[in-house]
Amino acid sequence: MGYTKNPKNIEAMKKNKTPQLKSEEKVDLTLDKSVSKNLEKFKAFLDESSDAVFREFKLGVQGIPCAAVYIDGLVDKLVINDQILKPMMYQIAILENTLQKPIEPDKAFEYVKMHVLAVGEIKEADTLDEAFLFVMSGEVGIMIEGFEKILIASARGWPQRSIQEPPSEIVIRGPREGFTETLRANTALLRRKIRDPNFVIKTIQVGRRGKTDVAYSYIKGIANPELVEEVERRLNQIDVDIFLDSSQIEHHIQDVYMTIFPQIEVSERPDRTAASLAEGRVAILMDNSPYALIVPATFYQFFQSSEDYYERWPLASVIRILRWIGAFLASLTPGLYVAIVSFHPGFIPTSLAISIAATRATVPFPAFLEALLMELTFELLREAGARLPRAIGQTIGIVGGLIIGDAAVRAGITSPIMVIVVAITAIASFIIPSYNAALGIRILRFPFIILAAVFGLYGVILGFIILNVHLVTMKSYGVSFMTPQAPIRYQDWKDFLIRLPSQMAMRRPTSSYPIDIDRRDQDPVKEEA
Amino acid sequence: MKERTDRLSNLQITFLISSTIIGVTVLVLPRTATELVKSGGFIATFVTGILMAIVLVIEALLAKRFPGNTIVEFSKDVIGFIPAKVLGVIFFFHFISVSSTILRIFCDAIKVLLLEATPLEVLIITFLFAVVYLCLNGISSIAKICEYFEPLVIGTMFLVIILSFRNFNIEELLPAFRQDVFEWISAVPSLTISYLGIEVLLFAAPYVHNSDSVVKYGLLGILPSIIVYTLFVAVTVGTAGIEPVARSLYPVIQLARYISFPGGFAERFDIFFMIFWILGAYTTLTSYLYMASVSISRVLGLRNFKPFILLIVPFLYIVALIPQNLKEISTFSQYSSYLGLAVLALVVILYVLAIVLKKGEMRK
Repeated sequence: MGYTKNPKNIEAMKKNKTPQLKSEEKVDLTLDKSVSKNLEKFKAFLDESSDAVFREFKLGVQGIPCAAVYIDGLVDKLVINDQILKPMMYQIAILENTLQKPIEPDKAFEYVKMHVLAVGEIKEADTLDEAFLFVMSGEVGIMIEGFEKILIASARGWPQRSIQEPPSEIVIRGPREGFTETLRANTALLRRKIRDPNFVIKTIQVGRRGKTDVAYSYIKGIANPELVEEVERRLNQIDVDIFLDSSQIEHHIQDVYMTIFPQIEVSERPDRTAASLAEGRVAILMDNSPYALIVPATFYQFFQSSEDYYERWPLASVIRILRWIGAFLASLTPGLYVAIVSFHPGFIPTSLAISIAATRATVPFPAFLEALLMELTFELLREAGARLPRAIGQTIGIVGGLIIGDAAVRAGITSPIMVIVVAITAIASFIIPSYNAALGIRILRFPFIILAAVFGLYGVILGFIILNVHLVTMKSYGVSFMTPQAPIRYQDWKDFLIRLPSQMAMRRPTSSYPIDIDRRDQDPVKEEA
Repeated sequence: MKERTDRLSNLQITFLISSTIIGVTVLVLPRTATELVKSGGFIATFVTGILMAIVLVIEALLAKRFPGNTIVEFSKDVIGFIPAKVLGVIFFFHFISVSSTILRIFCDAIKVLLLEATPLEVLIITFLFAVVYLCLNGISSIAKICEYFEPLVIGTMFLVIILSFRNFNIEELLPAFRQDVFEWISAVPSLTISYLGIEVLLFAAPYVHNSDSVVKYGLLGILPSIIVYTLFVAVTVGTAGIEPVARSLYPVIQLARYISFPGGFAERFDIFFMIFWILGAYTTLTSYLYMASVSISRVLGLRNFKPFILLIVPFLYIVALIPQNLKEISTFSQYSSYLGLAVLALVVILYVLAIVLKKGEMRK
């Protein structure tokens, strides 16, 4: 740890010969007894920053020199004025006068801590490093003459987004709240759902310069200690300077990076996160990011929505089956279309084959090129619509979908069947609840189109085989990615392809190896054994 | 958190055996059986299956006597160093012959039925590529793929059988039981190739988590193949008659072609069947390539089998291209079948020797 990194700047500094201590020079990171010297050390780093505030003042009747350091914008000014500065400068003097007992300067630090500061959270910092971390996190550093430590009073308060409905995981029935960018608010949302003292939220700082708070939480007694250890190990070995979103952490703690599939579940929803915690998994929250990372994840979890568990089970099961069909259609329809049209027209009923051939008679391209062209157009439209304001995005959708599709058919560039195929793929690809998994599955159709164009159905099957070998060999935190299908775990099938009623699924899924398998208080199986 | 990747569950053993057995040869099995035993083909198939189940039990018992080792390693405790190496080499050649046979039959079928214009060499290379990709990931990944694909494969086969009952005519099979028992037995060597794959137990058993129930789960693994094969032979003959089946190139495809797809969604059920048959062929060939590379690496005393996969593949490619026409493929397949039967006989002899010489762990 140190702030003395950049040698180039030291040379530049020496040339300018500024008298003041500069942050690039070697600064002694220990604290001094003198307030003015400590202040100078702070200023060496922060003097050029306009948001740093240094407030020097005198304590009580005797006028012991003090100073407060904080970052404007990260603190609540009301708290600083009313609970920190006012008591230290003014109210302490009244106290001294009424008690007729001035405070002793060598006990001032303890006295201020115990009697003066009316702030809930008080800490002490012994080094400049430590103090910087606190000040940069939005706390107030208070220096008192004669003490080699700094009093840290919490006065955090900055503009935050209020809790809103998560836009990426909308449910009809179920809680509407979503995570925000503030870690504390997010942990509070989780804590409100799990009031168990065994629910642990541990925080570490990640990023050499960003020093972002990253919290990993789990329920002690459910989560496998080996899993928690592994999460800890992977988080601690991250060495990057700044993180902006939890997705960047995801990239550093995932198992395989040569893949299009996410191996960590991402959620904006506290209820979904809490449900995962209750399954014995570990949730990783990061300050500045509204997305929680949940490990370990299996492929099939990307097809589950939190609403599955709020809806009646037969309906939820039907919806889940719809998602499987959706995933299948989104990745395979164009490939199968190309394969059947160009290699095996006999596979489909003769009347359909004839009508397809009739519509394709005027199309100048082979089916392969036609499919590639239309799918590409669709991807362009989708990407164009995604980044635009909602109102314009819809216009793009209408213009693209209706007008281009219709015009392309009329112009004879493509067949109506192809437009239907593209439309089916498009709709099917949006039925998968997890956005990042859906993206990967959607992209798959391009390799399938190419394989179908070269080898027909055989190529599609070969692609399917290779895709599944890839999925089967992947692991997420030691858990096989295709659990519970490969390896088969029949006890987990109650909540897999379909969801059985909750009364029948009193056991937790075994995929995350929870150490307490039963959701109930008493495990009949354990008692039998 | 580490899953024990080098351990297989009992269920995985079942699926591994079943998907190694069921594969390419199901396509031609009714022809072979009917050619040899006429209407009694299905009984001969069943008898072969029972014999193979007995061999499987012997294999399981043998593997139980020597836990933690493949047959190439533990055979030297029974028959000595040099004979054990020779046995390993015989195993290796057996695996090569079987894998190149099924590779050739598979690619021929694909060429005839799906891709007429594509050169055979391209089909062989693409399929080998996919096989090598899985094989390099080791036995636990192979087992996972087996338990993933096998329900699909067996499910489709049963679907074909069930939907074919509509055209089934029992009279075609009627003279079946009037045949001599010897006639059934004489068909066994040629039908063995369809049941080959039970050797996988000798190579998977060292990784079994709980070796006590290997016999049970092994038998569970061969059960679907006995049922599916017997029914396939019976149903194809019952549907088409003896002569057409014996002369048909791929009787099972013929059978599937008779089926009209329920609801009229797709016209040709045979293509639908082939899609899943490819998955079955894939798992079979992968297991064989795995066993071939493991056996040769153990013969040479090496633990790492992965480099051998890449060394074997060109060899497979060349051997698979040796037969020039369908007749030669048939002959080639017959010889691999005989070699397979010989290898299984060697396993049985090894077991008898192990009992006589009191080698390996005794049963408690």
